[in-house]
Amino acid sequence: MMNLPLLWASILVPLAAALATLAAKKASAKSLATLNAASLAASAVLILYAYLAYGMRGLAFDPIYFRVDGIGLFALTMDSMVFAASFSIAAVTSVIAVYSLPYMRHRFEELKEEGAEFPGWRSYYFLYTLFALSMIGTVMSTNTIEFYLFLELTLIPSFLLIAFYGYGDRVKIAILYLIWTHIGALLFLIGALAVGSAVGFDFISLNTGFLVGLGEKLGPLAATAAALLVIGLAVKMAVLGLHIWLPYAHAEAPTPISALLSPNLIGIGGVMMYRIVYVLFPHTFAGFSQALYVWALATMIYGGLMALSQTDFKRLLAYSSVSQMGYMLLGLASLSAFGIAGAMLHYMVHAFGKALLFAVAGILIANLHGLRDITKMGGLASKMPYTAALALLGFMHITGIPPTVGIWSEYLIIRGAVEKALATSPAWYMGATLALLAGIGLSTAYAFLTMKRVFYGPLRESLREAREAPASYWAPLIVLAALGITAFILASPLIDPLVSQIGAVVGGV
Amino acid sequence: MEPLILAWLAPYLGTLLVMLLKDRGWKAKSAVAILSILTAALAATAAAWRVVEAGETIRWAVEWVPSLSVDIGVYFDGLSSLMALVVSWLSFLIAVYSYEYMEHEEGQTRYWIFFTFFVGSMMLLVLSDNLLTMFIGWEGTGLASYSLIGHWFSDEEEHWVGDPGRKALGKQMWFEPSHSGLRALVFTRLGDVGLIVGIATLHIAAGSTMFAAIAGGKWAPLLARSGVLLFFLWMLFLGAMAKSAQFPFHEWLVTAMTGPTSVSALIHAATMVKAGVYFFLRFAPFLVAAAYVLQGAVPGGAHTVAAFLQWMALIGGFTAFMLATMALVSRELKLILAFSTASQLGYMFLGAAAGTLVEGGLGGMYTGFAHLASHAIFKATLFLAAGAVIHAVHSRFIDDMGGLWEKMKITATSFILASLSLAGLPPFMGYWTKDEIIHISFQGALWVPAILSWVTAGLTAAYIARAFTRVFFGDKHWHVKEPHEPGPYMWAPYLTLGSLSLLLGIAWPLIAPTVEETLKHSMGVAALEVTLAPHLEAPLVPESTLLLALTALLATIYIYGVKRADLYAAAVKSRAWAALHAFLYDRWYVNSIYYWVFVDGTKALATLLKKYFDQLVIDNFYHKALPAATLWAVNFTANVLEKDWDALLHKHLVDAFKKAWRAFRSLQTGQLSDYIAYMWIGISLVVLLLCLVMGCKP
Amino acid sequence: MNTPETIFAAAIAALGAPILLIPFAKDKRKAWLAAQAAIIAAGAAVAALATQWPGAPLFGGEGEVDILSMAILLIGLLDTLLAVHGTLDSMKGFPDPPGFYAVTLLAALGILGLSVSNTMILFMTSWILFSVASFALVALPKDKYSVTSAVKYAIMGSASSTLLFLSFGIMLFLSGSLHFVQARFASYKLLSTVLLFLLAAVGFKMGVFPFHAWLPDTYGEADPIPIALISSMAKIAGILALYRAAKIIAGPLGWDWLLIVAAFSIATMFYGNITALLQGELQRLLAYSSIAQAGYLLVGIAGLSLVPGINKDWVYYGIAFQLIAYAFAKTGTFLTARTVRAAGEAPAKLEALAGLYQEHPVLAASFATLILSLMGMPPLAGFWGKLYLFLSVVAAAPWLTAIALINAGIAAAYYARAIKAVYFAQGKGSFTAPPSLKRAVIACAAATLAAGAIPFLLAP
Repeated sequence: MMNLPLLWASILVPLAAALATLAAKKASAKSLATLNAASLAASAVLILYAYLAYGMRGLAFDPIYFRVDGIGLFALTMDSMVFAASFSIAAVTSVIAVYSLPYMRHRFEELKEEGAEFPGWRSYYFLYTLFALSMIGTVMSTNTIEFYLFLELTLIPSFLLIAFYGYGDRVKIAILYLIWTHIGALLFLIGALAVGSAVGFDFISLNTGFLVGLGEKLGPLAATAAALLVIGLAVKMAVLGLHIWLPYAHAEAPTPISALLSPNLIGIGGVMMYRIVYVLFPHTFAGFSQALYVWALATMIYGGLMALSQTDFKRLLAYSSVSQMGYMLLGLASLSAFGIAGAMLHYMVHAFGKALLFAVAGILIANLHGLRDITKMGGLASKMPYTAALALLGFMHITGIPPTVGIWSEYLIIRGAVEKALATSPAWYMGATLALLAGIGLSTAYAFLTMKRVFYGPLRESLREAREAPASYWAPLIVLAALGITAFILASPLIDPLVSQIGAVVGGV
Repeated sequence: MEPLILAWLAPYLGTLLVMLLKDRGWKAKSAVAILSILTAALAATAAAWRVVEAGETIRWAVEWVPSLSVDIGVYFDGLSSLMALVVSWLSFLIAVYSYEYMEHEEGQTRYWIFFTFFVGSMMLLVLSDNLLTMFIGWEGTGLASYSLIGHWFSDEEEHWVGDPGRKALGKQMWFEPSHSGLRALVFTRLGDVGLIVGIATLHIAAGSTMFAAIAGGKWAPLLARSGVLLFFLWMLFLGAMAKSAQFPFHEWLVTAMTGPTSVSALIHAATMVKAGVYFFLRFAPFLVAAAYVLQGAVPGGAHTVAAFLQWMALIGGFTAFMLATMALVSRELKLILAFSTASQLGYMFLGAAAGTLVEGGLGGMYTGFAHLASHAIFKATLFLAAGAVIHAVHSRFIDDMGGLWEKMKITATSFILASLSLAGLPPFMGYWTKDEIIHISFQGALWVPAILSWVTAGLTAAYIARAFTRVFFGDKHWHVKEPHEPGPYMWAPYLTLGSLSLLLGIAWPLIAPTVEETLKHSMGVAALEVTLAPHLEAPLVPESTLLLALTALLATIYIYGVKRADLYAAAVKSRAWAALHAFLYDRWYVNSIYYWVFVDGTKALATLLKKYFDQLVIDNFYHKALPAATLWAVNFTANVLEKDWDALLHKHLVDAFKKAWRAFRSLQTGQLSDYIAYMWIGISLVVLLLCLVMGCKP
Repeated sequence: MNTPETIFAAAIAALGAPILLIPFAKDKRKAWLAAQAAIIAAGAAVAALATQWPGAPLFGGEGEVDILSMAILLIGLLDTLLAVHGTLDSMKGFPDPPGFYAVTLLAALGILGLSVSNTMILFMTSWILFSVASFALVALPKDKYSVTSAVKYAIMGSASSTLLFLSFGIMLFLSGSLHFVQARFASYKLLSTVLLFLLAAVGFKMGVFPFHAWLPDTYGEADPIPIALISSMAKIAGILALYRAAKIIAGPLGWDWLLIVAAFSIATMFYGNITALLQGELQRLLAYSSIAQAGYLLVGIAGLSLVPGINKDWVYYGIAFQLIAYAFAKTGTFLTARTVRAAGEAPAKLEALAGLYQEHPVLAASFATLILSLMGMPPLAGFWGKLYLFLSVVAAAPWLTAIALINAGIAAAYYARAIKAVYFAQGKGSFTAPPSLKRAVIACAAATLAAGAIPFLLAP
């Protein structure tokens, strides 16, 4: 138990900023950006402190919690997994809040030219920060209903942000997004209710920590309930077959929001798949693991292939997210402490990397007259060296090339996947290896092919006038890249607690 | 803190410093970079001295990620200290060369950043005591190589490789820097996936990623019993094969020549491509140990290891032969050297495999390392000198050279010295090391690779003789006013290295035992009783090889230098010869086949999936079929329930009632609302339903 | 008379006296104030009863202070208060505003009676009182839409009341007592019939499929002001009736109660949700949503059966919560519908809401909040209501929970359309939003939001 309510503070500080934003009728865009970014940065610092002081050693709880009759414990908790996710969210949202300032200024002008009606800065930052803080809340939950509550809370602001400021047929796409994720959440809720009514909604208890195997008490219903939870979360994650909403939503969202949606929001599905489904149903989940394993590999390869065939930069990145969720799912399906730790770490990797990449796509959109078509790009590195360098770092993250933290998560995931395959059968081992060759090969191919198509080669005639974007665009992103490199070097405080804490539940370390 | 850690840390610090100095001049940046590499070289020398002198191994490490048993530090044993010596000093000399060579080029900061980053990563790779840190260095070299190959990323034609406009089987055969960088990264990453799977497997089977835990081969029985040993070994070595450009991964190295020549010399001749060979050498004793452990434990297990080594030998021999044939016809000076590099890497693989089979871990290590070192020296010389030549004539094609001896004596001397070493003539260093490989292959009864390597010795002499003859002798074809010797920063390094090829060759009989003695202090080298291959007498092999090489060399010099024949013009007159020429010139069509199968195949698959699965099935299902079904349901409810049902109940039935009521008009007056009828019918239906379900007996 | 009876009598007087006096008021504002005062007074009395004398008998067993009923009654009174508050400036064209308030109080009095009834006589009297008052309410605007709607409503209502009396008759026959006591010699078939008649009778009021036919017409066509009042009151009356009946026959019926009610519930949810999907008119959309919400409430009624695995506390909590969500949401949204529909005009299209958020941002946000509550979005009241309702039966009938949740998913689509109409539709509507109406809608939204905190404060 922590001495101070650090975790509540990490949510309430941004909330206060959001409410202040709403109230500050006369504040300038710049001061709103500063306020919201600072509040989220404060949240990141609080999370970091809570982790270093408490969460590294194991589950630590915020001293303030509620008990709701029939539903259970509403507490906030911190451990290595929560840290990987919540710190990523806070850090990324803080950086992107700064980045939003020039980007959205440009977007607002565009919308004005379109003649669209849209609410201004206050609404933007209010919704933005609300979205961010509810994402932070999701991963700190100790109870399925609490998680569901935060999850649905993310939905409305993100929906409105897409619908107000998105591209293309934004309202239609926002509704598509709303309905899809709502359906995912409801499938999850059906499963959660089935579990909750029988054994309670908590998956973490104040006294005993993770309630491992609690859900198995459901008997024959356990498999159905666990399957519903998995599928509900898989919709959120956009795993192959359930992914189709993602390219629309993530490609057409205003770019700063894509940078939040794509890595942060969907990854929550993966984190919670372990924290809820595995913890409550270790045996049932183990029963699913082979199917999930194949599903994960298929998602990886499929997402990679789709990314290769895109010509729209943002859509390409969106499909890349699908592929990345395949990596995460593979780690989870391995049932190995290393693999699962890898999945959790990959959350962070993907958060930093994909946020960088979406931000880069946004820089191109904002500074090159809405340019999104890769076939019309080329040679931009000579004009935009910083942007190109950031894109390279982004791709290095998601393809696992040092010195970015990506290499650790990639190794951990493969380590888990190999362990599982080796324990299954020789054919499985060989098949998995070949699928990994294809999957990671495709990731490398689309990542660096995109680098080549966008930034290298002769400069396009139509881009003669291009020049480096103002520093207000790319300077904040350096923080993300630096975080990714720092995490690579200081890997031990990240990986060791992950492996040991997950290993304590999963075994086999 | 162990100061020897500077062996890899110093170049990394150099990277940071260069970044900080990005707005400063070329001199400052170069000084920082070169000094950082010199520091590394001195550290490596100090360590190697201790290892050679005292016969001790030096290990200093701190825990990095304990849960993965990953350490970071330095580990100097026999193999790694010798390797570090080669890498660091070559890097230093090439860095000095770069100072002049790159002075007027674009992207200077980027050049030094990735140059120093490369050296740091390579040294880290060599000096790691565990697989993961090694892998991090490994990937670092890949990244640096990607960036340096694509250094001139704006793809001006002068930086291309291949004949612009040429196609083979419909696929383009010229490559821009950005394209080559991509190829290099994708090819090597593909192999790296195998390597990382292999590392993970070892981590599981041995419980650690430390070399010390793996050296004993205790992991082998588990994998052999699981039935995945052979597959595992292939995967583990896939990274090495890709990095060292063994067939079928050789394609990337060839086109990597789009980078600055100094980079070709450093990365694609002297250091990075040797990483795969180094990995092989590192594992040679481990494989022997594994075979030893397997001997008693798992039937057929030791045989699997031997079979795998035989495969490696075959791949090495085949790569050596295949790439040498390509070098025979190439028109680009750097490309000839690139083919030659891959071919020589094939020799090294063959040597490491054959040596291990015949003489155990130490034998493999010695055979492989000796050629690695000699190749590093002569190939770096060749590339650096080639860079000077290309600079001088402003063309990468040998057709635009010739007769340069008069103008560039130092360069020509260095080039020819190194060429003779490559051709395997005594007393050059290449003679000793290549001869050893061919000899030991025959001894091990590895007939196919042995014969291939023997033939290749002749081809090698021929192609390199063709190269230097056409560049330095014969008619002048250059189009520049006055080709001239470069400055001392450039010629000093390659003159040094070229002379070294000769000097080391002369001294080799004296040095060789020291090298072998030093290598004995490598991890896992122990005399183990295990027979992996026969040990035959192979009489006349050295003599015949030398004779072949000498004949080929002299014949080629005669044809090109004295007769000044235009073989190409003669050859293309015959259809068969022209076809053979095209086959060799277009690299056995391997590149085209790759593009047809993999690139186009993937594209087609992606398009197909996009069109028929993502859009047709998934998208349509969710966003067309499903909404359509809902719409249908809505319409159904609206039309059937709400309209027809409504009509039925509110109109037809009411009409029926009305008719009935009309019949009873005398009794009933006034009209009821439509809904009354609906209600009664509704209730009646429900009661009826209830009756049906529960039975209607009272 | 003991204390509880006195207090109750005071509540009756508080509601009853103004009924007699208000018609003489000349000024609609005075009538409006008086009506609100009356409701507050009655509410205070009821609150006192519920907290101080839970379970106390009234008038020799005629009535009883039942906690759930009292809670429901309080919700109803509070909602009526807000609804009444919102009407002040929106009664243009109403021929007799004071009369309107008098009738409203009359309806409230009916509900008051229903909530304590322990005998059939009291119950039937109250039921009729409420029914007649609600018919009158709908008819009061006297435009052509309201009159047609009122007629439909009245005729259906009278017919359904007949069924109610019929079912009471059978109950009387079975138990031999006018009190709501459990039937002694339960004839299984007869009991099922009673339940069916009840569901038919009460279902008419609540809009249960297939007895819903009048509801879309009435809610969809009539002036939204009276609908804002009766939409919640009618549900409350229905729930109170079914709750009473459950006390008598749910026990003997056992699983059949659950199955029969669940069958109606499922049909109603599907029917309401699917039909709502493509409705183009705002009021009609709200009307079908009312039907769907009746289906959710029936899940709770199904949970009143005495089969193992059902947590009664959660059922009661869920019903009460869902009523909170429903009552405020419907009051608020129908009042909002008034802003785009002038008295006597044809019902407005959904698109008429376009531009609301620019004209009246707070009103638009309140409307959106209420729609989200109907949709079941946490942390609003609608979420907790559904959660506890669905949760209560999940162990006994997981399929029912699953179907209900699937319906909640379907519903998201048309609720999203409503939000879209407010925030994203092209064009600009014209709105008449007098201050009292705005206040009322905002208060509804605030109540819905605040209710989200109840689970943390007050356990089931």
